[in-house]
Amino acid sequence: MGTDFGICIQNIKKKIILNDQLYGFDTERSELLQIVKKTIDYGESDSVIVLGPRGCGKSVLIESVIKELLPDSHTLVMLNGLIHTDDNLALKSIIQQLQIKNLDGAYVEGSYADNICFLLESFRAGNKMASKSIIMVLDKFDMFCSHTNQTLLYNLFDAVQSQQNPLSIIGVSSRIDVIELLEKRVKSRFSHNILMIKPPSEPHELLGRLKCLLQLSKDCKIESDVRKNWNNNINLLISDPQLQDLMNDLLKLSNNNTKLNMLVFMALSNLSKDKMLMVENLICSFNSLYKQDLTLVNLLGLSVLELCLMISICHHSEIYNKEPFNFEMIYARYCKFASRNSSLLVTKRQVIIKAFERISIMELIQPVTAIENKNILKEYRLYKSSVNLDKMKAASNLYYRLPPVILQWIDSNII
Amino acid sequence: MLSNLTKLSIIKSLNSEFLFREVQIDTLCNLLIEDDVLPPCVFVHGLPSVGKTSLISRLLFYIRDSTKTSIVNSVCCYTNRVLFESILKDLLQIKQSDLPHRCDNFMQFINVLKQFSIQKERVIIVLDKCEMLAQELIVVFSKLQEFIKSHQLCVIFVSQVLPTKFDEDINFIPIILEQYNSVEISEILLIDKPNDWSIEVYKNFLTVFIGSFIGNCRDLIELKHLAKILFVKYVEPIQDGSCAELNQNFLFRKISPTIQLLLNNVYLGTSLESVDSLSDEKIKFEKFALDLPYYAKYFLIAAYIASFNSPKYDRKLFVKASNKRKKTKLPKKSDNSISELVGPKNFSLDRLLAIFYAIIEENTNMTANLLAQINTLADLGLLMRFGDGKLDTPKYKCSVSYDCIINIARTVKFNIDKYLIDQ
Repeated sequence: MGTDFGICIQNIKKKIILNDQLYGFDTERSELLQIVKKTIDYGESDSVIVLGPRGCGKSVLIESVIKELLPDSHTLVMLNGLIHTDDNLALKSIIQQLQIKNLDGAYVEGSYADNICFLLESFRAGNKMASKSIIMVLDKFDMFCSHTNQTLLYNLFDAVQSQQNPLSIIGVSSRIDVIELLEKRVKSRFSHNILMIKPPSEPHELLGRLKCLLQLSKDCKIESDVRKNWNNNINLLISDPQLQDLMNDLLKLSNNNTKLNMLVFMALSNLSKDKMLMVENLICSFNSLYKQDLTLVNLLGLSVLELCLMISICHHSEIYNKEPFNFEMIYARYCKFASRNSSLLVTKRQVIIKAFERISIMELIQPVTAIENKNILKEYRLYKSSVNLDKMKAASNLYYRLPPVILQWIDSNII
Repeated sequence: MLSNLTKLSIIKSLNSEFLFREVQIDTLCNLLIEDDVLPPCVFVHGLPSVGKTSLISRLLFYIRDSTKTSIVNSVCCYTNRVLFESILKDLLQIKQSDLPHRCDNFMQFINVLKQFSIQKERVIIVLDKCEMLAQELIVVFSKLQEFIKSHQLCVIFVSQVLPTKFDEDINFIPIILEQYNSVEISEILLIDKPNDWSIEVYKNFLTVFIGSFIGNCRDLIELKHLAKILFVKYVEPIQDGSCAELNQNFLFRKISPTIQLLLNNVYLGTSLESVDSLSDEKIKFEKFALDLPYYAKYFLIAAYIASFNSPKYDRKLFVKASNKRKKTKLPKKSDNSISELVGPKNFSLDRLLAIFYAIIEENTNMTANLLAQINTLADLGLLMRFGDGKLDTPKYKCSVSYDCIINIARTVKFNIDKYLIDQ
């Protein structure tokens, strides 16, 4: 065809990564907007928690609400429980984000007590009408609950409650029981506004999302005929029944939007510049992303000796009802098999130990206690297996040129 | 179309360096090369020595002009600070002393990255052996792109542990490097052919070599090492003229003892010099056993008996006043008895001394010298000492295997089997 779709692909990829387009959630959006507007326009502080499973679009929702506000009307403070792992860090970050213009370096010095005093002072100094309102977003809200005494949360909610400086707190969490994590004194200060977000549950919703992702809008700097061509193709693609099946499969797997984004990203990356996106591309990347059984791949990569040890381990777990095992037990079981069946399989103990160690390095088996006890010899260290016998059987059937004795062994009546 | 050309040439040269990896190289190059948008997180997984790290670092070497890269081996990063600062040093190309601030936590790390406006550049961070990192760090790194708000930053995790072992919240693009099969391994080993031998000789050698080793070991690095050792031995008959180059049967008969020897020493760091000494391993081991002083040997034997017998049999075994009945009641030691499967048990110093005096024939006085032997054994790692903080009641455990203790007992002409009881 000769048309270059490289720019189209790049634009869409950028869109996926920036992930700033909200699809759906209109009622939730207006509700949240109302809360925030109240703070900005009338100085009424409030708090709300946005709940929803991972990757259903909570952060995108909040971002789209904030984008709607005039940038000068408020000060935005973004915190994330993953980054701000204790109150001290969170506090420093709050101060830093609040007065970024006054501070010359990007660093906040001072002790925890100083900082919290300073923050509370400044909250108190503000009043309803004159002060600029603050919007504080606490991502991974549940992680803030584990900070000691929930001091930060208490103080923030207290500031909201006592209507000092206009402040609205938006917590974001995927834990449904997040309210229960709050201490009593914190809980009583929280407004109990909870916004539930529901991920897409029907394939047609997912298709709509996909269409929204893939279509190019007018403000992209692309020649109009190329864009039209691309969009027409996407329309055709969306109506393809194969794609609907694929969306069904994806939905069975997970309703996480990020998974869909990843899928499209992968498909677009593997696309060459002069081709249109086809269903086959999507199916292909779906298979490579989510369909591969990695445990099986790992088992097939083992040597025959290591595979035999894994079989011994699985037999052992089967007989002893998933009791932990040590090297000696597995070695005894392996030797029993090897000496009875094939002289070729008899190997020196030292080599078998090494093979056993390799299995544990790959974490196909894991030590029972996390902390290694140096007083236990490595032969007697207890492990548990993360592979079951059925998986082993599947692997041994696929294994390239496995000696038939081993195949018989794995199927044999083990007791 | 210039960039397209370079991409093709990179793919081509990578394919010539890494055989049988076309699919993975294609995907990686599609994701990482030339495009302005990078994926947030890629997970490269494969068993040990399938070329994960070398493939990634080679790829990054080719695109080093357009991209800032940092490859960090997580094993070396024992604290977060080491990890963050080494990444920063690579990315910002500055010295440790030029870092604006201590970087102890993720917040500071992100601040520094933002301060140097890393968003405007293509950045790839590789975390090798990422299973060593804390779970939270992996989650945080997988979302780094979101935190920095850049679409040109990618974190590549490299690990031999299954990605499913980590938190499922990570959304990554998996790149799986499969283990090579035997045909592929022989192709790869063929590249290492010594220059002064013809390809037929080496091919014949590889058939023999892979046929005998592939069952025990599929690790490419180890196989390369073993092939190097074995080939020297393999061509010896050809070099001294006793055999024609292609007389496979003869060569195989010549080499098979060495193969057997090496098979029993896979992964044990065998070198060419040690191959010959390995064959008389038994002598070597007895030498080691002989190296202990006479009383120390008896102590070790006593410790072994104390570790593997339950104290309730001590009376029957060692009390000299003979009572004919008791001997017959004792169960006999059999191979792989249960007690051996769960390992040695602790015993007190008193019990050790009692058994020691019971099994040693001559009269010895209990002196400081004698007691020092026990400490020596513990220092050598033959006994394990368990302290509960008290000096006067130490507990011990024997850490020597059955084969070893049999050897030691033989040197002092002591029949240890007589004293070992299957519980």
